Amino acid sequence: MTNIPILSVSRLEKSYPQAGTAPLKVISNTGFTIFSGETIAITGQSGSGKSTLMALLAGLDTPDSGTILLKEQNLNRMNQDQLARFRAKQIGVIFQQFHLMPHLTAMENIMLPLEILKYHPKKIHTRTRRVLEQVGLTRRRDHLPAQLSGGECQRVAIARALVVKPALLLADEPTGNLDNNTGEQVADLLFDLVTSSGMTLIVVTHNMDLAHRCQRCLELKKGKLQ
Amino acid sequence: MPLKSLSLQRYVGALLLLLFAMTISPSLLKAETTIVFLGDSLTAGYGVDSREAFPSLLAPLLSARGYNDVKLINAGISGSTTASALSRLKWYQRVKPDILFLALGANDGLRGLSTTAMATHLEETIKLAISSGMTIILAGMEIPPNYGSDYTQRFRKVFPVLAEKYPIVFMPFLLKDVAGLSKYNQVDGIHPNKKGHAIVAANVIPYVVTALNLIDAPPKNQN
Amino acid sequence: MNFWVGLAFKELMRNRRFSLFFVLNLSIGLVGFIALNAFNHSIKAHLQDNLKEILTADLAVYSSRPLDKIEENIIDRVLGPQRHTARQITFFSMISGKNISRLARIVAIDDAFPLYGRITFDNSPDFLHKSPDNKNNSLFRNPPPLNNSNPHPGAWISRDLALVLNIKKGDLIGIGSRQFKADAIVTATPAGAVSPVELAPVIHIGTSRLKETGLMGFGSRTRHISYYKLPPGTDIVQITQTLRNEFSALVNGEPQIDVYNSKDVNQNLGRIFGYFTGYLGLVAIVALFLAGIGTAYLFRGYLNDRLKEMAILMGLGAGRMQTYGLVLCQVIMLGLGATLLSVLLSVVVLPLFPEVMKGLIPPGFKTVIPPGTLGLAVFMGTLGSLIFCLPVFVRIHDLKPVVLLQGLHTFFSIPAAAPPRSIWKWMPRFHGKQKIQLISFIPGGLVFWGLAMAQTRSLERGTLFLAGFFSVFGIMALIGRGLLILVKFFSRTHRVIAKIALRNIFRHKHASVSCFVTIAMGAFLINVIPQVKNGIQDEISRPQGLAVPGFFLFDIQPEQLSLLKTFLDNRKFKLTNASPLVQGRINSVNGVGFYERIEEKKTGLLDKFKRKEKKDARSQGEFRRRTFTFSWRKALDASESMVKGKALSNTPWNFESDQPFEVSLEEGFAQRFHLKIGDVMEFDVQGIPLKGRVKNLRKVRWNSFQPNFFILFQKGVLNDAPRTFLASIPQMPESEKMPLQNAIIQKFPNISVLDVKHTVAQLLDITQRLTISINFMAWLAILAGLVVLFSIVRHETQTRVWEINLLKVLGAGFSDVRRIILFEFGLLGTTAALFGIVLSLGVSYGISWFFFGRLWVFHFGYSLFSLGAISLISMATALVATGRVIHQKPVALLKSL
Repeated sequence: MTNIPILSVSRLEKSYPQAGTAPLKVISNTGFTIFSGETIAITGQSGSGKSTLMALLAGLDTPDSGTILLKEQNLNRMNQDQLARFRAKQIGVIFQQFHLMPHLTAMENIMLPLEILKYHPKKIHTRTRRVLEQVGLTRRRDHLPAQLSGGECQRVAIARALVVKPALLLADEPTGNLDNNTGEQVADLLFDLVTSSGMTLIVVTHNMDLAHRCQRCLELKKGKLQ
Repeated sequence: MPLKSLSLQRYVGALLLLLFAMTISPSLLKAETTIVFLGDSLTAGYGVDSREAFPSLLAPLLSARGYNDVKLINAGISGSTTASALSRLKWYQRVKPDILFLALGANDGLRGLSTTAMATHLEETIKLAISSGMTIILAGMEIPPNYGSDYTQRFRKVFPVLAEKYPIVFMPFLLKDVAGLSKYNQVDGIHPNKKGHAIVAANVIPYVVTALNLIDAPPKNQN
Repeated sequence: MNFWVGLAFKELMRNRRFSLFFVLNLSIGLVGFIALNAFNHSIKAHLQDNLKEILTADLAVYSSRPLDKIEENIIDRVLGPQRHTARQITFFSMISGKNISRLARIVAIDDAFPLYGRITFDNSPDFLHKSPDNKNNSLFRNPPPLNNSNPHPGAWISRDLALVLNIKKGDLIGIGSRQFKADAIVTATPAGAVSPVELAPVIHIGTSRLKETGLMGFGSRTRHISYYKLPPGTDIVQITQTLRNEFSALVNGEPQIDVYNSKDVNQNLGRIFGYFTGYLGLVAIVALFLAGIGTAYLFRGYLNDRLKEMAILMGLGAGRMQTYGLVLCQVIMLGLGATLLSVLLSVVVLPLFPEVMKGLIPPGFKTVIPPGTLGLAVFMGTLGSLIFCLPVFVRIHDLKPVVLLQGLHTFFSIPAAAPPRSIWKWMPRFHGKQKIQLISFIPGGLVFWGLAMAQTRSLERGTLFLAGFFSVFGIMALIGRGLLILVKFFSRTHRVIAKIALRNIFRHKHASVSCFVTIAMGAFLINVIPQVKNGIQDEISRPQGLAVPGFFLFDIQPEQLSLLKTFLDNRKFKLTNASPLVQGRINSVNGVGFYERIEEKKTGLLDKFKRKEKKDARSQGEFRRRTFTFSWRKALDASESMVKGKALSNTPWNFESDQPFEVSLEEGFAQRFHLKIGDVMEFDVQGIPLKGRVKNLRKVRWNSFQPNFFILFQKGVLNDAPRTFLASIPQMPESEKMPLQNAIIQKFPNISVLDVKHTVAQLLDITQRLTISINFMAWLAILAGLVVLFSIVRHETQTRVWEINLLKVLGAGFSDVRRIILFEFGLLGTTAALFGIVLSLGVSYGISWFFFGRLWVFHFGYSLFSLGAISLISMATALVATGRVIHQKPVALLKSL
């Protein structure tokens, strides 16, 4: 853990147009800084703006105003394709619903981001194999998502997020779709991998157990961080 | 009956003429001489305007000769044969023709019909015309040589034979100077064109004048 | 790049079921398209051959004298050196057999005749004793030469002539001053003539023997015909026109020479042939539109399935171009697969069609796939489908990976939350992003436009069709939107099933409207074709129950009519359709001279475009100053019907009346001479002027071969006019024909007895084939339409999967869900079909009116059938497509998200 700020957010604003009434402000004047190697939990009730903040941080959506600096790069200044490239390299996202490619095997799913980034095939294979090992899915690597359990799917998703060694790992309710036991196992795996690799992690959740495993906990209330 | 469809002007004219005639002499009640041309497409003027058919062309020619009161009725029916002659003449009896110009037979010939039947039809027609007091002009006809000499000769003979038998004015060949000459005929090679009809009219006129003289309808020079 | 291609391929392979279905579906459309075009092409060629065989040539030049040097030079120049020529001279003559002489048509031919078709001979030695309809007539491989130097040159006589002249093979016949020997009996000749009826029996002799007959002297009336066979690929129509122009430039006035090509063989047939070609074009365009809609729908469905994966890819950092590239790659792969399959199918299967469809398609018919069609199919399958799918592609433009966080179902499964950008969505309003969508339609529109023009071979027609179809499209969208209001109103019901189903429809506004529009378009297209077909078929086919007569009798004198009737009754024959015939002229119309009027109209501004055509018509002698035939009848014949105006009065016209009498005109005649209802026409009937007013227009089905007239008068007008009668005698066994004909001629020599036979049979055969082909094409188009409908409904139901699942989670039973689905899609399908059909009635009427001379017949049964079929297909497809979902456990579905 260092004191290098990896992500700094300032004066972030986001509202969604509402039919008939004034736009609904989801994120208002939010700012925070995250240092390299930190693990952060963003909590809040349903509708507090967690997912919106997550989308903004992941570069999946654009704010109305404010800046998001990731590794000193302003996400808001990039066009769609630059952003896509940057995201592929620097941001790993884990979704509540896993979002695996249904027609690709576990291994192919994990390889996918590397292939998009045009890594050398040799490198792709060594990295993928290592990550598969790390998430403990080597034996099930040729299975399609439909043939995997929920926990296994999420492990594939984690592996897929980690394989590019992103600067920032974002997880949206990573255990939300899993039963308690499995959820815990997946969370264990996630934190093990993050801490061992010194990665920065932001978890968006309303699961307090999961939140407490993070070094810092930010609560989102009515669009503002407390 | 046809008066209704004449123009008003002619109607009034005819009426005045009638009144005038009545005041002068009952014997002059019938001022006009009527000629009916009973024929086929050659008479009807197939392929040319009815005003260009030879019966119509006769009007100015007659006028030039001083015959101003001659009414010409074109009773030509394309494709008709001599078989229709008798019944058609009956229809025209109502206009009380003075002269019958009988020009039928070409279609009988073209269709290779029996020449005896043709002779009979013509003869019956002539008989009826005579009994109705008409003066008859019989136009002879010939058919193209491709029908064979035997038939064409038999056909040709029918007309002079009738002409000998009955007191009629006989024109040996209606299409004299016209038949077979492409410049006087339409593309079909059988119907006279405008020029052809003019020649026919010129050839017909002496016979018509003869007939008019026969019925004692001398030219009435207007001036 | 390799990676993306590999990924694309992998995706397709993993989705084998989808890919297969897709490829099959698309190839059905393409095969339909290829098949339609191949049939179109083949039938045209087939008929062309038939017409050629009737004319015996590609082109024929008719004149009443031998062609002169200048004329021969023109022919030489225009037709080129590669032509084959056959000469014929024909004329009437009295020929003699055993003590009988009879009118015959002498046909002098050279060795080259006929250039197409063949002369069939009876080679049985005792032909006179064989039943004449004996089918075992074989073709002489080497017919006896006509130009031999025997003391008696040979002649081929027709059976009729043999009977009339009472001669056998080997007997002598006198033609002019020469004796000919009857060497062969001809049983069938290629007609070689344009007339459907034969005035006199035919005898063939050699041209070289013509001179010896001595019949060719001054004044002989002969017809000289030169037949030409031109190298394949020659533009006959163009050459015909050139020849006509050159010949008419030679003379001042009426041209001396007539030029015909196989299309002129029969004017009526030519018109029918024109309708047929136009109809085929229409069917092909409709097939094209159906295929287009089907393709777009398939790709839309495919893209919907791929959207989530594309979002994931983008979430993982794939660029927009790469994502496009991936889909593009897949579209091309699938399209290529479908194209390959369809081409393979057409090449392998289509030639088998004539075998399989024996009786349904013309005998001796060979299916040839024109290379252009294959090219078009490849284009349609790959590039074309890409272009048609462009509007669907635009969807990717709106796709943002953020949907992954919001829950994917919001993007594809619940249209209400984030309505899938339906391909029709821009219809009612477009702004912002939708402009891009609007623009994305342009290439597809242009391609359709191009194809429509290629299919119809006319800029005007292609454009009109395109505009028409897009207007229908717009009207449907508007109707759909209007109906939503109704649906909303009726959804306030207490019946749960109806309530849910109706609510589904109006809440999914865009999906419902797009589904409605598409089904309605499908219903529309598959109804337009048969409706147009019905009209054309009615025109082309011989009317049922109106048998073609065996004989036409002309020139029956009024006093002969009853005699003839008794005469025929005694012989157990019937005299039918006796119609009076009076000849006269038309002097003027509305006070303007009849011919001056036409000249005037011809140079009118309106006819400027048609001038060329008119000039042509004139050169063909249409406007020759001629006499017309008038008739009257108690009631209209079964072969004619009134199309405009009121029926003629039943009270006889009074000569004393100062009102014009009533006239009925055949509509084609009225059109040709620019006459309309209310026009006052002055006639000259045998020297008596008469005035009539046009009261109505009739449509006559000339193909019925019943006595019909252009001009009918009110009763009473012509009662006393000199007239003859035209009548017919119904068809009879061939063996009875000759004796009857002879008997009539013996008894009534002036009556012309025309045998309606060979050519008419041939023409009827052709129209029969046209009818069959038209039907066949219609059903092919309908089949293609139903396949497209199936994929549309299947696609639409799949968007409902998520809701079905939800309904089940909420406790709805299988049967409830099924009832909701049935209700929803039944309603959508039925109303859409209903409106599609209603609109198709109007449009098909318009098409018929504009392109096919107002031939339009409404067949209630078919429309009802299509309504039922489309409703059923909608419901059944919805059930099948959702069936899998219905029977799944909700949990499994939750997991699959």
